Amino acid sequence: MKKAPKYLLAIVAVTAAAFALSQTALNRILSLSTYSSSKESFSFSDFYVRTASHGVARMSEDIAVVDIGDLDRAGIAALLDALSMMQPKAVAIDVFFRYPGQEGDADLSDAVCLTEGMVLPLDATRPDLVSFFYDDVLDARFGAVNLSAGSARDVVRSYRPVFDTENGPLEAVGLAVAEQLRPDLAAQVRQRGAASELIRFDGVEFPIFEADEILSGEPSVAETIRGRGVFVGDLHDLQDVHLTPAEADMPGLLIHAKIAQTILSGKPLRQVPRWLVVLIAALVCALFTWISLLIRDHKWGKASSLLVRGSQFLLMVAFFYIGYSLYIGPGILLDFSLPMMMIGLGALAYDLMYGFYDLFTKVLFKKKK
Amino acid sequence: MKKTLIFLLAALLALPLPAQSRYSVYKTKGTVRVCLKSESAWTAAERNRELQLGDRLQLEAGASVTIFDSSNSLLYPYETPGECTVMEAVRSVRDKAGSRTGAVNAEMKRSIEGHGAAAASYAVLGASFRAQGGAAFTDSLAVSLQGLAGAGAKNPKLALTIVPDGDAAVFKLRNGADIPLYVNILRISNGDPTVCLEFDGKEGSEGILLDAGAELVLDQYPFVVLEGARYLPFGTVRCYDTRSLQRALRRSDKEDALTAGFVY
Repeated sequence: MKKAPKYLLAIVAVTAAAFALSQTALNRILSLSTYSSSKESFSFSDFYVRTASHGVARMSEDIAVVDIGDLDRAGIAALLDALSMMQPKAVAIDVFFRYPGQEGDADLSDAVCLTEGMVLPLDATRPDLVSFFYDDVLDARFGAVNLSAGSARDVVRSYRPVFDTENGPLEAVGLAVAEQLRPDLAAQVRQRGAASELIRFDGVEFPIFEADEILSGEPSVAETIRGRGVFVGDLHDLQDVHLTPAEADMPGLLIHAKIAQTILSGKPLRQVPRWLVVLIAALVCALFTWISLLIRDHKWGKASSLLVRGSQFLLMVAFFYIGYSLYIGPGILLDFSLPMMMIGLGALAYDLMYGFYDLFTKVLFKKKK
Repeated sequence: MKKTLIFLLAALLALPLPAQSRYSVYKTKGTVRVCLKSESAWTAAERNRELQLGDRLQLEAGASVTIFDSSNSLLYPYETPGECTVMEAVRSVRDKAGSRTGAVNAEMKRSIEGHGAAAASYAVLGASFRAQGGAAFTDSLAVSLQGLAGAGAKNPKLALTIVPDGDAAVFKLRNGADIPLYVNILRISNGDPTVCLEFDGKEGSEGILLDAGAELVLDQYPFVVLEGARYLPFGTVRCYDTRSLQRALRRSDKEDALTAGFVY
């Protein structure tokens, strides 16, 4: 008990020093990327997503994806007709046809009008950029296909559920599709009213069909499509691939499907606020310092260093495991960079502090002698 | 035995790894010195000397150094006196070029808004655009690339002129299409296509926007004309990540990359 104030002082000092050192180190790491667009383009939390993406994924029961390949307008019209016969709940087409004057225009326009649960794309920043047939469509919904990225080089991690446009609020295309499948879950997103929500990129894969498979009308394909939300678009358009935490070139079509799936899972990802991350990091670092002090005072000789390093390693592993479990389970995203850094640099701060302390006491002791 | 093994391992680790750098000294003016990352001695920066990103440059007042990037033939003229790393110099020049592109784009957008033409999309969209404005650009691009050895098929809508600028050159582009386009240039050398202009994620990261009928001299991107290389302009209705195209070009599905999606 006598040592408590001394311990407390040392713990506070080491934790504060580790925090200062970690801030410098993290800023240095973030500035190392030669041409990174911004600090937001890099997040340590992407590691969870990346790791989880390589894990086991289940097949979605709500969403399917159809690749139009290089079909012309008449072909896409035939594809939409074939899809309608399979009775999906919603069909989102992720392609703009801005100019008329090509073969198949009338067929395409008719097919879009006749497809039930159709969701058509809009650019929330330029609602005037529309496909040529939008004026003829009476019964379709519209959804924003804008991605949450400042530039084509930014990483897409989140989506904006609702956009304010000059024509009123416009839902993201993923939300518009989810609305038709599970209105209750879509309502929850609107109720939360968040400006942006995180996209879950791992855990679920989609059945992906080529246009030919739909056109052939295979009963097994029809069975899969029935009652689902179907995203129709081009999976091989190099202008429509984007950086995501899960992979470097993800087609926009799949990102919208992931957004819809995130909503339909009913488990939104939540980011732990920064202040809480700092608090957790400080507590973990304090715990490490306390363990180090206990080991040091037991005077286990050379084994002390080994024990300190061992406890440091175990704490780091435990922290990462907890962070990963929180992500996989309840969908809580805990940025592990600061706590990891503080545990790592806590040892350095500890060594520096006691190194200087020993040095000064030896010098003072000599002088007194 | 143990000592011999440790010695061999240490000797192996000490062997310098042959690293071919994409950067080299193109020309200098005044006193410019280089210090290798691993050394402390400064030596004069000679033409064609290879540079690593971590090497240091030292420029006296009034001096300048132009760095050559062999990956895309671009030149980075740097003239700030003092010391810096090659990476800092390249980044500084690229940032300046990006700012200039950003300013030109802003001006171009104002012009496009002014005359109310069907505009390009400035936002990052997760969607495709299909066959706008008539013939697919894909066709002309694919034809040009397939017939590399033969007579060059020209893109009918985008006109590219290479304007000599001292011992380098700059691109001049004219958008003959009836809609604004984001433009870029493919360099085809020995059958290998490379995207010439890669845009950083700061100002001007969306690429170069060119209004319908507009002409632009890209003097913020000076380059060296590669002997035997062909330069092919291409345009898209939306901004995109040039690295995706570059990656696809490097992969084996080169033909897919060239025939996929680049339409206007």
